[in-house]
Amino acid sequence: MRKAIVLFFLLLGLSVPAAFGGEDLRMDKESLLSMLDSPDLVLLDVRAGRDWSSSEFKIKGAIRTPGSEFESWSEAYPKDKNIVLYCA
Amino acid sequence: MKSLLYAISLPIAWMLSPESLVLLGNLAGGNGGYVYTSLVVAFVVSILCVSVIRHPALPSDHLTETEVMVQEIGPFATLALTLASRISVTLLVSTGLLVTAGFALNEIFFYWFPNFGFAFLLLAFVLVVNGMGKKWVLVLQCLLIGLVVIGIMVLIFSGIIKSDVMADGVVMMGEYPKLSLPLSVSGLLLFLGYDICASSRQQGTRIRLYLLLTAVLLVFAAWSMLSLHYIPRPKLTESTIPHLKLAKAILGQPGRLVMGGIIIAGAGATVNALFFYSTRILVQLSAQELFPSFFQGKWQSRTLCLAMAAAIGFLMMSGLAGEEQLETYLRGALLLWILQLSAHCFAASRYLQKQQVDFTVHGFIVSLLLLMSFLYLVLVDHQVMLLIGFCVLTLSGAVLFSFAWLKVGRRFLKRRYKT
Repeated sequence: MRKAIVLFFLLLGLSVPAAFGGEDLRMDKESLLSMLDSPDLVLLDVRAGRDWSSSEFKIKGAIRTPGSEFESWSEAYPKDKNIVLYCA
Repeated sequence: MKSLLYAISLPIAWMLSPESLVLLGNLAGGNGGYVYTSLVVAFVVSILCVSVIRHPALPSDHLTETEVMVQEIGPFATLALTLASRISVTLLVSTGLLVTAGFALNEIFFYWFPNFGFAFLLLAFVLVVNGMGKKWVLVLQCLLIGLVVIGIMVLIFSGIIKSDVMADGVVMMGEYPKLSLPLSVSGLLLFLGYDICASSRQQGTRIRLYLLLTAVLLVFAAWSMLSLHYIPRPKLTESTIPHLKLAKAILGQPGRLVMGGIIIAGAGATVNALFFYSTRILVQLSAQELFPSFFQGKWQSRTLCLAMAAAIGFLMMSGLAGEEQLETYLRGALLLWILQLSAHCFAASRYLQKQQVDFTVHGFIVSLLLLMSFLYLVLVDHQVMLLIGFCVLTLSGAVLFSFAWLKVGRRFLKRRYKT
């Protein structure tokens, strides 16, 4: 019984961040497609290595940016723009 | 006929691999009409190397390739160079190609199939076939290479028939006269693989390799001509998938499907050939007590295959495919292959010279050319420090292992078994 209570509170604790987490910031491809010509869009391709070079799907106008170096480029783009990162 | 197919299906694997087609596309884009000159020069160097390392005067009955090298340049250098080149090429080229095959399946055929899942599946398949023995390795090799050749021929003939490329081809020679020397020298990488063979028997091998290299040269020339005709040069130079772009330009969606098949079959064939040949070389070395042998017979080669597959699996799982460094390491492995060929050519030339066989001077010249090409391509690489670091570390590791095994390990085991 004691173990069940401990497990319950453990699971509750793990689910708290998800409950208070921000909204899902993913976008579907139709939404992105409608925004492609927008001047407010900054599209960043964060794929690296073979994930990028082997793929034939590269969105025109996307800026290739290393996803692992977020600190180096996160300030480079204006915050009032729609910054979209894609990796697949 | 069967022996001919077996003799050519292994060496041709790398030459028609997806990596090679990308390199060829970039070479055509970078050099324009001079691509044909670059290909011919690389072809001539390769032919001359074959004429030495597969010379009929080299003993084929009792001496293997590594034994000639051991006799002429010593066991230490042979072991270090062979390990550095063979293992790095097998592990890194296989990792890159398997990932590429995975992406091809996912993006061209079945978007729902995970790309890395297919990469591991293909690796497991090659491992199982190699475990089944030489006969099945060669059967699989012939099937995969057959698919690659058919696919490439379909695209080439469709590309030629579809447009006036033959009329345009000559015009291309005069455009963009600037020649890129680094790209031209890297043309040597396209013809690698002629040292991979099913057996050590020299009879007839040399002629077959001459014919193979000539056929590959013609395929490369036709592919370059079509690439220059269908794709703007700047795109060809910088593209990471020039072969896919060309296939789509020639045949549209069906062309894309054909190239997808070529990529997957070509990746499988190259990995299969590398597994087979590397295992064979390591078994040869262990027969001369130059490499540890923990098992006997078939289990020795199966264990080696399993170890290589485990290492490749680890490299894929560690995310190396998503690192930019993989391309530099891959180039380093291919350059070490050229270095090992230089040593092989030198050793064969020395042996032939001692046998007082005519025309061995060109063997020394080719060996020197290959060595200089290795050094040049390392120094002009855009990631020169990383590349030098990779080559130095790989060679140092191989040298350390060679020293440890030849000076310590081998003697320790001999003493232990004696007592």
